[in-house]
Amino acid sequence: MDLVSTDLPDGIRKIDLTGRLDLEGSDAIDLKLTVLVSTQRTFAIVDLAQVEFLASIGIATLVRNAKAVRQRQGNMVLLSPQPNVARVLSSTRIDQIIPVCYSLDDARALVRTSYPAIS
Amino acid sequence: MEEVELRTFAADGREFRRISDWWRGWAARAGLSDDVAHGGELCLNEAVGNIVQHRGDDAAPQPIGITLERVARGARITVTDHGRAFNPLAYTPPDPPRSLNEAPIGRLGIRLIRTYAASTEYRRENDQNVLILTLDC
Repeated sequence: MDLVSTDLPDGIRKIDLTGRLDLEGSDAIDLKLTVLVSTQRTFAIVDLAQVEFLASIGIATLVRNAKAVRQRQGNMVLLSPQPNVARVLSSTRIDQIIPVCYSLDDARALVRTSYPAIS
Repeated sequence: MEEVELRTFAADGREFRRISDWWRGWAARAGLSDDVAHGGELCLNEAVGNIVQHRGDDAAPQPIGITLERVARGARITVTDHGRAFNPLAYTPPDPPRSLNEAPIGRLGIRLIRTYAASTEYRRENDQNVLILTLDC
């Protein structure tokens, strides 16, 4: 699993993941993702277009970091999951608590939406 | 093709990719659709993940046996292990979260197995946990 981060001109951090979000993949990116999104207020778009497999351990990584982002009054949006990954997000209702978009423009607009900070 | 294949793997998280690679190759030879193959791979990941997570303090964990069978309705996956008795199907997953605040971290493996497997069965026999998952084509 590879992770590439880009800071967009509007202050949004785009994080591109490539590979498999299984145990090995989650271990490979967990710390980097945490540092990128959880250490200060961040508006993050996590691009899943190149993620070919998502297991429950990968969902845990996404949820944990989304919680940390929201605790700092930031936000996280998931972008363009492949159909198999989208089905995993849907069957676990994760797409109801972490927004999912299918265009970068929509993601950039949505990530700046205010959500209540969580405890 | 050999319609029944059996392999053993160490009860170790480092085996997940080998298990996935084997499953995908077998699923392709068995003519399973991409959707069914993906569902089976996910079920295997979650089932083996449960074994690795719940093996307790086994100093020398016993290997995991996985049998793949092409059956009339689709495919059958049987996962056996010699760990302490543990029926993953007896676990009631939490309700889907209504907010990020109340979302648990983890605890979704059984929900995924129940979503993607057409049927599930567990039994304890000969000091082994036996988990049987059937995928419909």
